[in-house]
Amino acid sequence: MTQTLLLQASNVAIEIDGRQLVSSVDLAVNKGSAVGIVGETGSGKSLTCRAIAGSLPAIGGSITHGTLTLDGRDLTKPKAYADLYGRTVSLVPQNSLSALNPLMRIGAHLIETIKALDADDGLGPKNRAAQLLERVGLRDPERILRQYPHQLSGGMRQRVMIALAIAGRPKLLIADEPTTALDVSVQKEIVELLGQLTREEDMAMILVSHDLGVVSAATETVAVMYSGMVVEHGPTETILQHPRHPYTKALLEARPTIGRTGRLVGIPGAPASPDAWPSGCRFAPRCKYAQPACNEAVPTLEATDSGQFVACRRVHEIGALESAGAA
Amino acid sequence: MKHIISDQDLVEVNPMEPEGSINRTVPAAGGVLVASDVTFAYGSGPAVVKNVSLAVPEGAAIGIVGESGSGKSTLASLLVGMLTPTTGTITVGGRPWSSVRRRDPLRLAVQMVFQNPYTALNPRMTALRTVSEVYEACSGAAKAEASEHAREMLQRVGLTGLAIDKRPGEMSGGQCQRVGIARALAANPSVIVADEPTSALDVSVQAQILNLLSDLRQEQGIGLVLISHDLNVVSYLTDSAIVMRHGEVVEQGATDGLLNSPAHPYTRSLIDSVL
Amino acid sequence: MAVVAAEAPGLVPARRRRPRRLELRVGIGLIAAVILACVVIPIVNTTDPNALVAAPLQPPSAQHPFGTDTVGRDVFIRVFTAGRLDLALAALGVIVPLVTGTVIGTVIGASRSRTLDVVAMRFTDGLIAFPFMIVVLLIVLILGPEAQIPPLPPGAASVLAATWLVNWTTYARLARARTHVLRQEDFIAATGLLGYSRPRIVVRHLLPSVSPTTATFAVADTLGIVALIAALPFLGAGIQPPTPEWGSIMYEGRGVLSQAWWISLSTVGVVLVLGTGVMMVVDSLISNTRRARLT
Repeated sequence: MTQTLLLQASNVAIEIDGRQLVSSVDLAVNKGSAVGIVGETGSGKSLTCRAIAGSLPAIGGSITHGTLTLDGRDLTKPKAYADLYGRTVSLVPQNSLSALNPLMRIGAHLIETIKALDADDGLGPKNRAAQLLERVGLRDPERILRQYPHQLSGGMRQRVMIALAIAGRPKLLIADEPTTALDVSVQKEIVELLGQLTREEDMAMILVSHDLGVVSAATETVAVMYSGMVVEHGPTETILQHPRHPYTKALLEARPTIGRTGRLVGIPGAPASPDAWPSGCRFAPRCKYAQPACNEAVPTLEATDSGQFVACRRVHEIGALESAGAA
Repeated sequence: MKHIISDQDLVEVNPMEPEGSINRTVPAAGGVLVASDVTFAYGSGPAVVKNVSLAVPEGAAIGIVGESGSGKSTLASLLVGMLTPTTGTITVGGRPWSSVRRRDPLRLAVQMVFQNPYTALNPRMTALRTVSEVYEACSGAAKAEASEHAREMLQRVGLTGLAIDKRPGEMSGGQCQRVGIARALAANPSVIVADEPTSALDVSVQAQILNLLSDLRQEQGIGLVLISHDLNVVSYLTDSAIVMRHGEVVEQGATDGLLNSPAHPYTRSLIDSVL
Repeated sequence: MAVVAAEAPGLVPARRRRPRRLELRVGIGLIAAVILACVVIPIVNTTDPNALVAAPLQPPSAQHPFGTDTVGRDVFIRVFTAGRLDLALAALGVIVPLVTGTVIGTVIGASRSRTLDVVAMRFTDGLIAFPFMIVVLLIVLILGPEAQIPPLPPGAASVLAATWLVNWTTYARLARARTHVLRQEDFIAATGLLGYSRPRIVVRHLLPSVSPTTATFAVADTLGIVALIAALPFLGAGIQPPTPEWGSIMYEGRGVLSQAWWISLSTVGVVLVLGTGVMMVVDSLISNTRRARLT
């Protein structure tokens, strides 16, 4: 298997107004692959997306440490994004349901983007717009082109946002919580659409969610973030079946699922604010396996025998403890 | 502490069964909180809740499942007495909400936990003040006494130390939701209606809140009406559930049965959509 | 930006906050400087504002920093003595309508009676629609120019009466609108479920969230009152000469603007400094309330 690397982030730190909100992100995305980022509020997952999509300066943020390369370009350099957005990378934003201009027809949104990216594929902007709508599974594109955003349901608007994002045939599509505001039955359709587009358009995707379920439905690998760090990453299946980092384990145990019996195990406490990050492992104060030594140094990602990378200094001991407990 | 409503107070209610072939295994008669054939429309608009009947027996946990536009949040407002049904009645302890005045002790029997934990609390009041006010206003306790009760209540929902002197803006979503629950509990209710109580919270915090609600029910026999779009959450907390669509109940029954062998195709499609 | 705000409500970029705080500080500084000058200068410089101290229409000099007026009075001391009266009138003219209007508006907004709401709002519409200057002139007519509130000079009573009579309506409308928004909020819904009494809901829960909105408008309104008092002498109403008052000083200077610009312009300058300060404070307060509502 020869896979070429599209995006590589190593040890990326992000600051906004002098506050470090992301301290260490390691991430690799191959061409055409789908990668998930899972994390809770304040984990830094949305900022990481912004860094990759080049929209950090808009909120006064910058990459202060580490390397970030996208399609051979060093993104930590100023002006690296000059003509990248839309063609190489594009973003389906978190609050995308309100991202469409209520006074513009759907067609106008699409045609504007297609013209700006000069991406009509020789079809003419209007035909290309209709083709894009069809691509994202909207029936009767001619009619939808003439409609205003409020005439569409939440799921349809989200499909339009995805059409806008893929208009320039980006090599990397970032979907930041694309299903949060949608109804349950629509969520699944959108996630499946994203998975399908990734496979068929030769496009890589980063799917960000707080919900492991959403990520598992459409990605091959996943990175779990906690307090500004990637604490575990590896194949999605492996991580869901055999999580190794105590946080990932706890996150899975905290999820109620149909048919599951017995009490949920919540994670005690709440994540620390970036101003009060512990000196050692960020998760140590809430971790049931924590030892005094965990507070000494921030653990780094290390390979494990089961195929994932884990940032926990006790990962092997915990594995042994558990197999002993099981036996 | 004694609940405001005891079994003796309950009046037998025999609501009219609406027509249709809906399977009703939840008894529509008898319960602390009973909705009988309730229909509601905003002004002269279309009905957003249509012919809904349900009963919350003492200490029971009932789930109301639906997507946006299903009328489930409107039903919540009706159940707590914030809205008045266009037709049909909702009774609490055997009396219709319309006969329960503001200062009636029965008013306190049904309390609500809201979806957005931040806007559910007065932004200018500390956690302690929010809860102690309930004791001052509802049971006429003196300031010091109310404050003492409030401390105990906040401790019971897991808030101690510095957190109790914080305002909503300084607290996490989970902490705010705990304050909201403590405020509801301070009124010593028989039923708590929780409208999407964890949908704004992170997964790890969600588990804490769900466990708290589950404990309250088990330890104090407080009935729970859980409104949620999340079938996982409903399956964890409730014994019986109703599924709503376009204001109507499409299916109702024991939660386990409903989720394992749904009869209605809509319920089936909701279950299939769970990621 | 919305992405980050939703991600971590407490982490809204701090950099956006700082210029606002600077604006607030500079604004308060400018207002304080004008107030301080009006308080201190007449104490330090004991020249009688009505005394004829030099030849008329003298340009600014070391002795008379703002020059002299048409009859030879010291403009410097007159401007700052006038400031005491104008600022006191502005404060009185704002605080009373602020308090009454906020309370009335909140109570109307909290009431569930449609009739009360409609009647009250049409009444305020009527008052707002009525030309304000006519109201003042009518009140002057009714009260007579001699009507007086003891420490204040003649003419002040009618100005205050007019503002008290009319200005509360704006605050009432603002407070009512804000109350209607608050009534949709869950924390107010909760007070109903807990059976709190109406006075408790109004006093403890609505007023604390309504008053920042009306108070912000009050700061801006202060300037309006200063302008109003200053405009009245042009109609022959308001504070009567020779009592020093910004409006009458400007009015006197207007006739000789080409020979003696300093009479009008020194007054305008002081009012301008005050106005800039007020607007800076208002701007920063508005963005503060908006942010407070978001978080």
